[in-house]
Amino acid sequence: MQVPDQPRNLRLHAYQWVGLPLIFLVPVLALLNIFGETRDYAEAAGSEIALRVEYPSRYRFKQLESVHVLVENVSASHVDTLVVAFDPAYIRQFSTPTFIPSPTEPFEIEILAVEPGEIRRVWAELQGEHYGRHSGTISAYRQGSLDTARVILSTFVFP
Amino acid sequence: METVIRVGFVYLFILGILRVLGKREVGQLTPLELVMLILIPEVVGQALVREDFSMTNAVIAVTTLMSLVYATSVLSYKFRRFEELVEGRPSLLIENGSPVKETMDRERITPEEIASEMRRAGIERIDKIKWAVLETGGKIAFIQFSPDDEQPPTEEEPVR
Repeated sequence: MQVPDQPRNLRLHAYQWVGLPLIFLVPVLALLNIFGETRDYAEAAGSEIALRVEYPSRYRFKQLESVHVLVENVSASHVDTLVVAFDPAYIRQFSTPTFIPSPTEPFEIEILAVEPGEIRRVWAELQGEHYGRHSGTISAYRQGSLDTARVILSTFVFP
Repeated sequence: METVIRVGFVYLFILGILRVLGKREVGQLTPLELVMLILIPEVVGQALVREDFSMTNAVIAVTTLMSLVYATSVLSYKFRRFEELVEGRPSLLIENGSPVKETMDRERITPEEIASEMRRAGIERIDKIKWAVLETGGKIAFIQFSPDDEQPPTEEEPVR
């Protein structure tokens, strides 16, 4: 049985002209990592303490990401107690936050006996819980001092 | 990005497997094939989404799948060779009242299956069939002789 051969031209309904590009756009954007995890850096320094933070700037709901904090004693003197404080308003946007070393106060970590030029590391793991953009700060200061190094973090959690 | 690649791979993988299995597996589900189709999502589901249960990942996976489905259908429509590659070609099971043994063997169609399809189509005898065609979708289409056609000699025994 012969089927008549005719040119096959692609035609679209009006709604397809709108809908199809949108459907194709999502995987293309995903391939370009628009919906993927990204990380960012932030740095600040006071007269005694320097702070460098690597944090997730974008990730997805229920994904686990870590925040790496490096604090350095840039003064010429020994620091007995150095405090790294995470903004509670920022941390509460995530679930099951884990810190190493363990906090002494809620969201505050004390680091003892930091020699001049010494760098210490604080690590936190956060699970994306609330959608949207969350901003907050991480501060580092010598206990009893007003001189604070503070960085602002901004993280977007995809639904 | 990984979701798009994973969905793309699994789509091509399953499409290839279904193509290799043959038309009948697509057209009619036997219990074995039904089990296979139930198990495939279970098996590949984890591989597709990994530990990412976010809505974003679901949207990416679904739109990737839909994009692939649509792209495949467009390519099938525009290019006949691609259409044959993806969907196959119809196979002639009966010609002028005679079963085409080679095709039946290749497509694993038994005479009993043809007889069953004939009964469903209300055809009593095989010698009344000009062509029986296994369509790319797995269904069997029957073309009967028209009064103008020269029919083969009538056999007494109807097909079982």
